[in-house]
Amino acid sequence: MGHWALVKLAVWILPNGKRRDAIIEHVDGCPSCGARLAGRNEARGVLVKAEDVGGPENIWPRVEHVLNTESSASVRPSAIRISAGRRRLFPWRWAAVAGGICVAAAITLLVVPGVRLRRAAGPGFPAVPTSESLRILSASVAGRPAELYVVDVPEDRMTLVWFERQPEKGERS
Amino acid sequence: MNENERIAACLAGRIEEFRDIVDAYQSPVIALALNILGNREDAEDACQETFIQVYRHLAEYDPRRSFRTWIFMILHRRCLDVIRGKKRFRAFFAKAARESIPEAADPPPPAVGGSLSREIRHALQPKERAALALWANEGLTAVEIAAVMECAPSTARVHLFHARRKLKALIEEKKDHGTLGAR
Repeated sequence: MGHWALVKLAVWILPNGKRRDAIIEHVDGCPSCGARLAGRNEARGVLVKAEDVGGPENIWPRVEHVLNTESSASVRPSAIRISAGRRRLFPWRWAAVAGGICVAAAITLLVVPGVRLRRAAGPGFPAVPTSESLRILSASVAGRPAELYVVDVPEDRMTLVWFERQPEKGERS
Repeated sequence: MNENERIAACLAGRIEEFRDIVDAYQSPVIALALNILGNREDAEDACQETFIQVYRHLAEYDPRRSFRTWIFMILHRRCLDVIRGKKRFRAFFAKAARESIPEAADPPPPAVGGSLSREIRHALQPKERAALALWANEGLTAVEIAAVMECAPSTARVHLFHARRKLKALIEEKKDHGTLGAR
């Protein structure tokens, strides 16, 4: 087995830690191994660089719009928040769960007949959402960040909307 | 006004000061997002969401840490969320359609303003692309890459090792054939 094959095997087989670090350190100092790895310039030649991405006109208006909307809407959640003195379980969790169940039910009602109809009619159901038919948006559901999936199925004159709230820290997704 | 003063102004509720922060960091942030996600549309969305998260959590930023690394960390997390979300969506859609959805059936990325070549996207895992971009474009060390990727430095070194190894193999393979790289 050649030198490089041994190095690759060692990196693959060794558990994370000092021994694997030592192998990678060896690679950095070994001309034979180093020749098997792309250098910084080679990597920069194939990666997208900051100077490739164009002007700064795009992002700020979008960010500003969201931040302004949030700051003007922030009055509403605090108005309905429970007072600090008398804390009880605010029903937003229940609202989120109920909302989720409603959306799931709506999707089931929309998708299942859709799938059956398409099966009956033959192929053509858009198994792969395209960039034109699929939009993934960020949304706020019951005060929590969520991802909103919107799929247009023009041939069925149908739009599927599916949201999934983002897991909190420590919560498994 | 320096960066810390700008952050203080943002914390005082002056959203307009945040514009300078967005302008200063958006190009490297979009570039990193493009290198991880592979297409402009997703990268811009991730970039937008990253800056919104940065603004929302500015109070949690520790000034002893690098602000750039902190932004990259939020972006990296966001990009992985996008990738996970897409995987979940594919799984959901496949379930609904009762058929498997091939990975390769992704629509080709629009070639505007820089996009990553298909070969690179397919050969390198998102974490490997992230490590490679942080190392090559941003000049970060393994320890800094680990801080961005929220992993052990040893893990970051391995991601980088695999990324460089795979990329070299691709370059060697493509040497005689044609182009490989960002468009």
